[in-house]
Amino acid sequence: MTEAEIIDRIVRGETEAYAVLVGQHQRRALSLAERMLQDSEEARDAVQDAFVKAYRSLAKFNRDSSFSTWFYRIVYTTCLNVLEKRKRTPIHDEFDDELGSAWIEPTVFKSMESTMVDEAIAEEMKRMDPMYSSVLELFYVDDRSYEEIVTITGMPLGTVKTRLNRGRNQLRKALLKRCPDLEIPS
Amino acid sequence: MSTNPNTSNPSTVSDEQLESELLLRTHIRRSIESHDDPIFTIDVMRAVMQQNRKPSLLRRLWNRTPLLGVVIGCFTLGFLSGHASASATNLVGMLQAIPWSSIANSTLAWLALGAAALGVGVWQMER
Repeated sequence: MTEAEIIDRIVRGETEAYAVLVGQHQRRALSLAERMLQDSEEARDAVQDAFVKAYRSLAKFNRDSSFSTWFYRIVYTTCLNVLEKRKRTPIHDEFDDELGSAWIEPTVFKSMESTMVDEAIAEEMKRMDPMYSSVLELFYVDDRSYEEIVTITGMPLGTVKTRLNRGRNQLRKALLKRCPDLEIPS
Repeated sequence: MSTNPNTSNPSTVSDEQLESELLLRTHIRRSIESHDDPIFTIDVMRAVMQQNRKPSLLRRLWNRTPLLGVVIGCFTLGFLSGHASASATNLVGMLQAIPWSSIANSTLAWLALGAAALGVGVWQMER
């Protein structure tokens, strides 16, 4: 059954069909929410809230984008609301094109054990400002295009690119710290 | 590599940059812990079902209070006061003063019943 058919069934009143969508999207949604909120309990509550909101608004979903993009937008804004309630302001929205296109030299990856790279990245992603790590996750894990990330987050394209670059740059620095002997031209 | 990669021109993507992106993607994906949680699905569906559940009759009556109040309240007051004797000064007195037996035979009483039925009908339509 296609996603569109599942949505049609739900809109017609077959609520049980919604479990299919929940099963399909919960993992990535929870991961994104945990990334943003850095608290697994709050993330669960936020995603549950997002699923209920999405269910209530499903009849209004105009299908211009995929369900996942539309739903991730709900998850993202729900998490932002939670952050807002916490009175945190972790967002640095200014566009900074001085950074150019940050990238990590392949030598850096190859200079250490693969598992060490995984660990370093996992650690740094946890430490990173959630506004950067969530964009990195959308881009690298969910394979979202810039345009989709703009739709999900509601951020301007420049901000999305800046956050991606800063996230990459932060990962690069974290990896370089772990291999101090590596010579990278600066 | 002769230039700082972090200040290179973004419009020219070298093989090295592409390789870097692929490696970064692989490592980020591996470093992300994610797992399916069947209990979570149950929790979500429970929350969704609660959204769907019809409110109790009492709740629905409460929600319709303005409509029911206006239809039935106004009519009843108007109807009863029309039959109350001028000397009745309180509610009990007013109720005692109403000639119930003649009301039962009157056309107006049936009209009252019809209006009440109409009120309930409107309420049912709104449910």
